[in-house]
Amino acid sequence: MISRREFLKLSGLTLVIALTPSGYRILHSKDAESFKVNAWINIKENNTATIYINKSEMGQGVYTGLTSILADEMEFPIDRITVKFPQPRKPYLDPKMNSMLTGGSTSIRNMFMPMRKAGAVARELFLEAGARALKVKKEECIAKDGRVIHKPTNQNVTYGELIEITKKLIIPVTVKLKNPEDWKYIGKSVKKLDTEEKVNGKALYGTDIYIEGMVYASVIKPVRWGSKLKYYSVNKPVSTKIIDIFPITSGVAVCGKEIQAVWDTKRKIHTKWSKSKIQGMTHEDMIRVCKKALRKKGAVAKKRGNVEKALKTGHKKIEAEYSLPYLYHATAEPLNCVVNITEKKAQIWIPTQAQTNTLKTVKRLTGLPEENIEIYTTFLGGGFGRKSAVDFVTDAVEIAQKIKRPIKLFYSREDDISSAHFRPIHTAKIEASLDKEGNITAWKHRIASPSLSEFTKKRSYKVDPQVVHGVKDLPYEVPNLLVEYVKVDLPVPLWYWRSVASSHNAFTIESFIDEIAYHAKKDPVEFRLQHLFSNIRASRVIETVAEKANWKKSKNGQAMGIAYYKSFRSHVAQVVEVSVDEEKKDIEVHKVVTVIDLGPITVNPELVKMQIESAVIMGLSSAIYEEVQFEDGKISSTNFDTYRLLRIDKTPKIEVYILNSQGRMGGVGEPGLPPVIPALTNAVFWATGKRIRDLPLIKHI
Amino acid sequence: MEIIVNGKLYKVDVEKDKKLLWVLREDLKLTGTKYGCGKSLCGFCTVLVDGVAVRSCQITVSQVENKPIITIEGIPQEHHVKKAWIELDVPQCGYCQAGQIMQAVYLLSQNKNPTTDDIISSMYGNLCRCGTYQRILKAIKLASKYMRENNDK
Ligand code: FES
Ligand code: FES
Repeated sequence: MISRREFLKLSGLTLVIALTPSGYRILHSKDAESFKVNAWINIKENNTATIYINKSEMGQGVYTGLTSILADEMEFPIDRITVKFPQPRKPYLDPKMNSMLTGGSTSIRNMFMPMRKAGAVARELFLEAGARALKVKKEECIAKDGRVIHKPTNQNVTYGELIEITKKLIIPVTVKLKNPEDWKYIGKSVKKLDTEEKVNGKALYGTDIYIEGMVYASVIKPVRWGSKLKYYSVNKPVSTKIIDIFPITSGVAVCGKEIQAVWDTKRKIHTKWSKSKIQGMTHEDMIRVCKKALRKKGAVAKKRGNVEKALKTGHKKIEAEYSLPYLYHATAEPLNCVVNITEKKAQIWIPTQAQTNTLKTVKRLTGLPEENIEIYTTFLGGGFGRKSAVDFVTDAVEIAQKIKRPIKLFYSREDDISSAHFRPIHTAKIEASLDKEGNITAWKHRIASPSLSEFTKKRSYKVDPQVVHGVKDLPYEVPNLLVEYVKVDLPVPLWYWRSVASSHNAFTIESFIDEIAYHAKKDPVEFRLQHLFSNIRASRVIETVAEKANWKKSKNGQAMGIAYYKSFRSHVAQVVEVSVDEEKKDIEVHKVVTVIDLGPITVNPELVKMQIESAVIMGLSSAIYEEVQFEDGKISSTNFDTYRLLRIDKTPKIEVYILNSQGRMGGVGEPGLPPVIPALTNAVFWATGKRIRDLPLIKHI
Repeated sequence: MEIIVNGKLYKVDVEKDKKLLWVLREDLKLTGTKYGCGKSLCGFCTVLVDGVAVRSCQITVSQVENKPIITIEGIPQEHHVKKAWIELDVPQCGYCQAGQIMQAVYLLSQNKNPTTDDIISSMYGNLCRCGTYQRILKAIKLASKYMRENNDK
């Protein structure tokens, strides 16, 4: 049994407890009109509540999702709740990550139980208080819509009116969670709580924070990554709006009174950098470097049976090479943050996915104790993984320390791209053999790419576990499997990009399985099912999507393509329908049908659909257009003209179907992205006979 | 200099060639209007000047002196477009949405019953990295329906 004190610690109840003759009692909070039930809930006399959520809202809907989970258990009306982001300290750290971090499609999965428990504690507490206030038996009372109701008499009282009594009560140690059939918000398409402020231009993002005495700053990054600043000079005169120009660790900082002046002045600064190994290279050269590395034997990531032998003795052998470019996150809101550092204190307002790492970075650079550092999370104008890096925090703190004033670091679009942290380029060679019946007997998969983990984890691996993830556990049942990894050294900084390596590996695996199906003269749906015979969840999403999309391969320029991929514990199958006009060099994506099996609970079906719609668009955008271009080793994509994104004209009709199954909860934000890419290129193949093995597609039609 | 934003007269002490976007954001603290590219490529900074949708990153403050400017903050929540946006929960991250809404308000002021093609050609310049396009299309059609039902502008 756990002690009461331990329970309070575990459940994040931060109340002060005093021992009285009648047992533990809660000390009065200073603010008489509000009452902090636990770390997550603060309730007011007027029966409104503030709740704290420890995940960043970047468009994926946690603001609504987490709140509805807590409100449901608390039996509190969701429209009487204000949502806030807490400081990244205990008890607000994600218990599974021991960090305040939003990523890996884990927010709902990791916080589902903690939010339910926090809400249930409040509900039980108010029930007890309500029974006392109404002088009735607790068993005869129910909690509903922020009220305690005495069933037999219908007498009732609001939670807010119970604050005084509640303060004198013992927090329940064990709380009963509601039965799923009694859920009011969970499982329903609760409307988003942040829509109104976003529609009214009132939602505050990092870029919208203005503080007294603040100046603006941005940074000139290395012209070529992998080089160091040698010197810089300024072409005078510069605008009178400019306050200072000085070197920092990552480049040259410019500070001024207006952001446009800061950005314009960067053009007047001449910088010289040491040599980089990518000097002279284009993005195509970098792909060539990777493809050359594919000829080497790699470090073994997974080995089953004897692939080489099976390849030699197979009835038919198939092989193909694939490549994917560097990708830019292109968050709508460029990187930014506001920093105020005084001798004793540091404050930062930031659209971040990684509050704990931000805190650690500020602490390391300022030497201030953690409790003197405040991290205020704003809304994020998109994240997609990019805002879990803290490179821009380092820039901002260094600048604020040097200039001794509050600053807003604000990257222009051009600065944002030049700060890199791209999705890695990736190449793979896959070989397979078939027996006479058209069964795959061997699968040899070699990846050559720079190592993502080297940048994200700051250590090196023989086999980068993040890069081979999903290939090592190939879903298709093949008796002989060999997975190898060849590391390529390129100095361009890499980072997580929505779905991480899944966007690479789904493309290569699902393109290749389609190629084999073609050579085996089998239907792509049937061929997949044939090799997934013991994987019920995979088979079910594939069968369902085929049915919903009315699966058929057709020709003459119009066709469907299918792909399946499991990531973040969710199974997703997608069918894309396209037509290709080869004369006009135009591709039209008509429709994308998605089936997702996300485990036992769908917290908010409409939010799941929105996330899939978003992932479909981002996946198609990356497949059709996106590629970070380099010339002479310099990033030559600078803005949305040279880094093209999908626009409204190419938006297909998107249908989403959600399946539930036993087991653990799956993620939602990312899994909808990986398979749409090969589903598209497979559709293009069935429409035109042209296999797209090197993305983006725009280069080939 | 004097500018009229959302029906209010503001005196601003800025250089003539300062872009309207930065006057709104830095000087008036009307931060609903967003920066995304500075080059007419994203549409996040769209506002109405004299009733016409313009990219505020491209226009200087002196060009809009004495002309009525409407920003996202100046569109009432009961406006058909905002109502439709709320009904369909269009925003995800929300950063592009002020621009989308302003562009949609302009489109519907010119064309009460736009076809899908009309919507696409009017909204083409407004990027959304979160991919809310399908809902934007639906929301504009819904707003257009609200408008026609109410027989007003
Ligand atoms: S910021 Fe004006 S169009 Fe992009
Ligand atoms: S809602 Fe995020 S960019 Fe459009």
